[in-house]
Amino acid sequence: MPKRKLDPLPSAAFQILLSLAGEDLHGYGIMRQIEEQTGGRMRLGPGTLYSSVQTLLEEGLIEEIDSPAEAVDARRRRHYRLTAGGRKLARSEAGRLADLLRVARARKIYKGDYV
Amino acid sequence: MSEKIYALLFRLFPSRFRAAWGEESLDLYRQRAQHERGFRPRVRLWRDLLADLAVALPGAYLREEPALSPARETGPGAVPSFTMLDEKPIRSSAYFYGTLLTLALLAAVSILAKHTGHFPVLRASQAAEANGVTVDPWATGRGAGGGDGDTAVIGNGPGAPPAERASSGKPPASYVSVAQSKPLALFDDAERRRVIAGIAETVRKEYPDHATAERVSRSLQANERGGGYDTVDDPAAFATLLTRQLRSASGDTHFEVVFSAMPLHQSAAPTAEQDAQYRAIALAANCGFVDVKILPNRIGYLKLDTFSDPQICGGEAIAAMKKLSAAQGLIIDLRDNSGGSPEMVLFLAGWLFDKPAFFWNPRADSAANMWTHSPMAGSGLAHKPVWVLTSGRTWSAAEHFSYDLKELHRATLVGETTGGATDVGVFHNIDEHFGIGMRESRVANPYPDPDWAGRGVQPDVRVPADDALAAAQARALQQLARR
Repeated sequence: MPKRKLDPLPSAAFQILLSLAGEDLHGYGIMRQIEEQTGGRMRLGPGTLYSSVQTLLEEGLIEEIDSPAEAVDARRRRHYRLTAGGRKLARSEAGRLADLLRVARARKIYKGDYV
Repeated sequence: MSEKIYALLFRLFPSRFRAAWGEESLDLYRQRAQHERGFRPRVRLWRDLLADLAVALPGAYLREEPALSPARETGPGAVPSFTMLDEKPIRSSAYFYGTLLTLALLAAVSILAKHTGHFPVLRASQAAEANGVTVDPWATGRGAGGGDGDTAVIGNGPGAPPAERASSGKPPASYVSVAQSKPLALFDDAERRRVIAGIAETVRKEYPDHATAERVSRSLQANERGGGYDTVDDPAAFATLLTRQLRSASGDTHFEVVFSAMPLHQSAAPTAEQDAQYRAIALAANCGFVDVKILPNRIGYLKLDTFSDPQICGGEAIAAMKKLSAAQGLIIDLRDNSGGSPEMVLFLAGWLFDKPAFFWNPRADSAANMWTHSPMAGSGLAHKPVWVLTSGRTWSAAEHFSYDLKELHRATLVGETTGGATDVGVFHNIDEHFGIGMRESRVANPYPDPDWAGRGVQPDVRVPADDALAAAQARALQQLARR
């Protein structure tokens, strides 16, 4: 079943996994983190963000955690954490992209720095 | 304010998604709105939100679908099962609004249907279609009924006439009006007797050949007295039976009894507006002159799909015939010709003769209207060989053209038997629902073969219509080489 929904991994889902690699975040935090890590190219709206979050939750790639203690805000926000499965999937996706990059370089259509 | 707008937009998402993520999504919006102040950031925010709606909405609804699949898989194979997508029952207000919307749409459609569009041409053709009768704008309409306004002018045929007639036709000189619909009276013995009496009287009064008229009327009335029609309960079948009996008793295929479920009414002569409409349509279609060219070996080729009114299309006709005069021989392609104006038939035929030729026409009221106007100034075609291409779609005026050229031995017909339109001259209303069309011409047909009504014109060279052009070209080459 997981194969069907996240294969291939949509870029929004991959970005969410990456954004959670460093720290646990709530929805708005994920959106900001993604904006930052893509240089402002991707700003997820609520519909896309929470659809992806829902799928990732269902597939067990991220999990919901209680608000960290420092949350002084009146409202309790749901935070998300990367699971071991999620980390593994993000790593294999990154590997796949690196392979692709090697091919692009071999075909001389991309001359960027080696990663 | 803008938060409310977004909350409203968010209602577009499926309810399951809203329940799970509604609060979170609004919270995300609030946080972005709080941080992104000023004109440009706001524009960017809304652009993001709208793009997000466009991208995420279809996906969100697609996600609803798999919720059904477990039920499908576990359900017993042959037994139909139903699954509610939502745990909650449908709100009662939803039923209310649904009903309201349906009623509003229904009302809108009926109001539109009733109050828009006055298209007499369209309506006439619809009414005629319902009866299997084609309104013929070019019948002469002599008004044999003595000018009592009882005569509608139509032409009709046994088969379904080509569809384009309705759209390319001139606005009818008079047409069946369907405006005042009255329910059809009970079809019974009395009605049958009345129709028979009406037909007998009309035929006696109007049919050119009095002896035949008398014989035909007597035979119908004898049948009626003998109870020959007592079992015919369907008015349309009754009309068909009368048509058949009239034709066999008279030997004249121009009889046609018509039943119309809609009341037959006659309306006024075409308006200036309808004339203008016809003119525009005819000119837009280049007056039916679809192709005018000189083929290799100087064979002229004219593809004509309609005989348009020469009053409007005379210029086009003259230009085409002058161009074709340069050829050694002429192929006239009438395979898609659905008929039209007898005046154009005479006008074009005139170019093929050096002195007036007699073009017999069951729709014309006098012999004077059956002569071509030959010779035509500037015609170089009078003595050149002519081939006419025909098909089962060659209809009415196009059959008139083909028939007379064949009988005059002026052209070789190549292709299929033509459609066989029953070109009646005039149409008389018997009552609100029955009418009879019959030959108007008092001029006897001088030619040995019966005309095309109900039987079509036989080709001289019988080939499938699709091969007719190639066959005619081959013959033209042979014949021109011998010269």
